[in-house]
Amino acid sequence: MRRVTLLSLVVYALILAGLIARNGSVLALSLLFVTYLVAGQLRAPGDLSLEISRTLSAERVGTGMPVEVTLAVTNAGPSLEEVLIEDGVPHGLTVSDGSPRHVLKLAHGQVATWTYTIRGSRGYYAFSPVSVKAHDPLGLVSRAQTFAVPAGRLFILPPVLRLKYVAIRPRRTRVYSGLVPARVGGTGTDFFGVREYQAGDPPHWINWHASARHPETLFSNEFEQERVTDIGIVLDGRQRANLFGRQSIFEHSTLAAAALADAFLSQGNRVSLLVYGRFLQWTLPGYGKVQRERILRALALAEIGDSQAFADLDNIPMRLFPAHSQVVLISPLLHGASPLLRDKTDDVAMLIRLRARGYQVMVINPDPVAFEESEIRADPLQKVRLPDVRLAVRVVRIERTLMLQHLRRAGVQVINWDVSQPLEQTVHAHLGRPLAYLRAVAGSQ
Amino acid sequence: MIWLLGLVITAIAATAGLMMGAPSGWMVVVTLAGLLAWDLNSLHRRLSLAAPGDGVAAIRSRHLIWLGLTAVAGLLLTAGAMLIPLHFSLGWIAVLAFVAILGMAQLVAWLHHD
Repeated sequence: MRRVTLLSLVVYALILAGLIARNGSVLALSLLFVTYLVAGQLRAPGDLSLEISRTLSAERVGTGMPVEVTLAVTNAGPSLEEVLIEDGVPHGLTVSDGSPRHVLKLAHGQVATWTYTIRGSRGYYAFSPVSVKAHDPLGLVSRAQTFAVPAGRLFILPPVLRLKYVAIRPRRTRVYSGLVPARVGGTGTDFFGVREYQAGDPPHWINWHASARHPETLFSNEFEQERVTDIGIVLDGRQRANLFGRQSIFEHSTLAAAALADAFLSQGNRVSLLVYGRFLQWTLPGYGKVQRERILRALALAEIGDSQAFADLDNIPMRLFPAHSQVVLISPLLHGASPLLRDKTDDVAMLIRLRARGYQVMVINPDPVAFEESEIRADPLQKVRLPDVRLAVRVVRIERTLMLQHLRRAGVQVINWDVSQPLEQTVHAHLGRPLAYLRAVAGSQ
Repeated sequence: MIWLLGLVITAIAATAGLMMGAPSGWMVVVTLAGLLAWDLNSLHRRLSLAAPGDGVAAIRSRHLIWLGLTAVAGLLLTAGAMLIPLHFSLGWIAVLAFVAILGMAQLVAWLHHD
């Protein structure tokens, strides 16, 4: 109940009681409250005329990095005896130092400035307007207003792990030189084949062993050209695929997407990103640092969600990716053959179809079994279920192993990532630069 | 909530006391104490939202000064009304009551509007 309402009810009750009892003292008693009400009205705050500016120390930061927010409030109106000013800190950010809320006395022309520090997890955050509430000295009359303040958005980008080298072999490359083997002979570093000597070939290219067998002809070594390529990264944001109980594996997928995008762009490739979840969030292909920033911002916005249209991977619009290009899917994968799934969603069939259409498909598979198992083991309430859990984990693990083998046999490159292990370690083991002699063997096959 | 109840109970007790012939001075003091306690509790709640270094002491001291002046003015008015005997006919009482209620309604409307 508002204070004014309460006091007015008391005054009315006293007047009524005084009149009914014909008691002047009771009537006089009401004067105490009337005086109090009048005093509040006399010092009621006038119109709020404030100039408020908000400055952020950075508009894009990494996860967990502190951001200093400075709020400057200038009172261009009449003096305010008691004013509560609260900045609209977005939900999801935590204030680690200082306070976004202050109670002040603001004289005419006075400027109040304060700074507070916020931190948060990956995401895009828009600040709400600043809310101001002024009171009279007795707190009876208040005047509230919100002030829309510009400079109120913050991108918290996912952490970017530096991957030294990510080896890929798409069927088609672009014309510009890069680091991806192009399956075409020419100048390069890796042995590709032997051809007849052509005028202009450097003498150290001559393959003396082959030339010795054919005395009439000289042969030169040919090297595999290295070029840039088109890479489409598809981040699976389907809720059913990512959510296990209350825990989501999506943050790990986002981390992998950021690291891979950074690595591919550093190698000079043209990279695009598709976040596939509640809707399609498409980042057009591009090169370099600008594209890196675009992708990181898209990843900051990425979140899991469910949609009937995008329940399975069949609806990925593949025309977004150039034919025969490299597609990297980051997904825990749903497998319809599993009796544990109620529906018939089958990501495996779709990936095999994709491979059949000529795309070079790589799947980074954040291991959902290991993830969920570790979550259950960490939960003290689940300890009694551990023997059952162990058995269930064995069954599910066998199913997933079979599923991944099925994919590998179809020519899909699968990297199973136990998210308790560092991503760099897993990527280095599976996608690090192979030794020269292994590349030569692979190239000749 | 307890302070709100305290204010209402104090007002009811003082009214009952006055009707039963208790010393009116004490009843006024009791009512004023209830009002001050309620006010100070409200101030405490508002200032609890302040951050360190907000100059709460200045706000508090200004509040206390204004509250003190209000209390003194209220006491004087109430004491004056109790001590100066005025006799009105029923008609005048009705008119004055009507005016008082109208005035209160207007005051409350202003306060709500603000």
